[in-house]
Amino acid sequence: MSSIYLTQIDFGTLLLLILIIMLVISLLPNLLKGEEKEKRQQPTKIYSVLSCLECDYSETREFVPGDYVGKILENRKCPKCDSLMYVKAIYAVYEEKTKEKVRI
Amino acid sequence: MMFQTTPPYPGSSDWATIAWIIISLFWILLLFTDLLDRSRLMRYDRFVRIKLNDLEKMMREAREASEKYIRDLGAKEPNKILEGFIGNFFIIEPVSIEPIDIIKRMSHLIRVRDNKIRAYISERLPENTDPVKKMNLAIILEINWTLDLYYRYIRHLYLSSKKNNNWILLMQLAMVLPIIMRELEAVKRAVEPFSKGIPVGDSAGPMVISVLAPTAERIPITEETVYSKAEFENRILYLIKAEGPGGTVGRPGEALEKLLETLNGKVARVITVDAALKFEGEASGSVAEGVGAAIGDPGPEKISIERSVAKYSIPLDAVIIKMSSREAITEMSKEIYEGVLKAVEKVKEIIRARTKPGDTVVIIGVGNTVGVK
Repeated sequence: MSSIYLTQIDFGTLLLLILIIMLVISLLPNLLKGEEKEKRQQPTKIYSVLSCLECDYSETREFVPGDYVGKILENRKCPKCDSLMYVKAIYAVYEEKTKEKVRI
Repeated sequence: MMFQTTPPYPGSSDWATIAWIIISLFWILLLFTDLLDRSRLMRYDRFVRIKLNDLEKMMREAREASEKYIRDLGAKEPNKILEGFIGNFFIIEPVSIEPIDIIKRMSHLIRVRDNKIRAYISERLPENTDPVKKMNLAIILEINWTLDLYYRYIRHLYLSSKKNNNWILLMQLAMVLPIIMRELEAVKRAVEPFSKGIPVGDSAGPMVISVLAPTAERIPITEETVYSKAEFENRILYLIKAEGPGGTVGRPGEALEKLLETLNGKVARVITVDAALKFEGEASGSVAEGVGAAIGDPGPEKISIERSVAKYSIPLDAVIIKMSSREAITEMSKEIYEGVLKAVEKVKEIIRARTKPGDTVVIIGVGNTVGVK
């Protein structure tokens, strides 16, 4: 016949409504946490640092299966001095590294 | 209003009064019975069950990735290799109530287990399998073993708490599980770097050796351990590390003992470099220097280093590269690589400041040498 207007709601009903709203708000952080967990599992990129055996030339390229630290690359010459190059280091770049930082 | 009946008090509707009576009764039940505890326990119970399912999923994923790696090595039944390993190969700690020669006994048991694992792998893979890949497989099998052990143990605690109606145990389990799951997630992720031969955070120590002498000859000194000879500002350096690029930690303690015997103890300084666990809030890849043997083995290798330097009264330095436990077993991050470069500088600084030209210095790069020759 007619609907309830805000001015018509009595004190008891108002408290009940507040209780329900608070319950919904308390459940929200749980839903948000689930999304954060997904973000943490971002894929990583692996790089190999190539260095010249004779001079200080160094470059970084994406990791190729078979690379290991200390491997001498027979088919790769230094563009500066034409000497052989070797794998100096292999490291990963984590895309969402900032998430783990703690600010005090 | 829709439900307009006689109100119990001015301005109140009937259904609201009924709702309040129910809520009041509910509060009485919560306050004066153990309903609240039981409802919490139901939540903890559900939480633990979800985490156990997550752990089972993690175990399955690690197993699938491992099976693929074993299949690529030419084995016909990779699942049988995994199943034969998981649940077996446990080690019973030596008697500690009588500590005499405990290190000798522990070292013996660790070596027996290592040899058993090596034989298990060799028997099941084609003869011409790359030894580096065999070493990596040993670590991959250990990863699956660890995940299975934790799964079975957590399930045991959960079922025991239910069986004995032990609320405290269930609550403790629910409280500690997020931390355990975080660590196990990292353990699961470790399958990838070991199957691809990528250095992990723990490879920081061997990588320091590799940066110091990248092309020096690696001479075997003891099982899965090598040393190199190099020169730095008129000092002779002996560099010890595990034999790479396969995944192993070698026997740095035994190697140092042998090397010092060969050199008749004429060494000015021994420097150990290793990855170390950082405190929360500390930066990954930060480097610190101290005194002692920087090595995290169960005991035999560490005591061997300590005894060797004490025998010849050689000063022992420790350089550590800080990282989280997660970073230690997953692909080495750029921050840790930068820490490696800082550690190399720190080692050079120690040599320049505390040794004289003509001295001999031994540097030990402790850690898993996966992906590092």
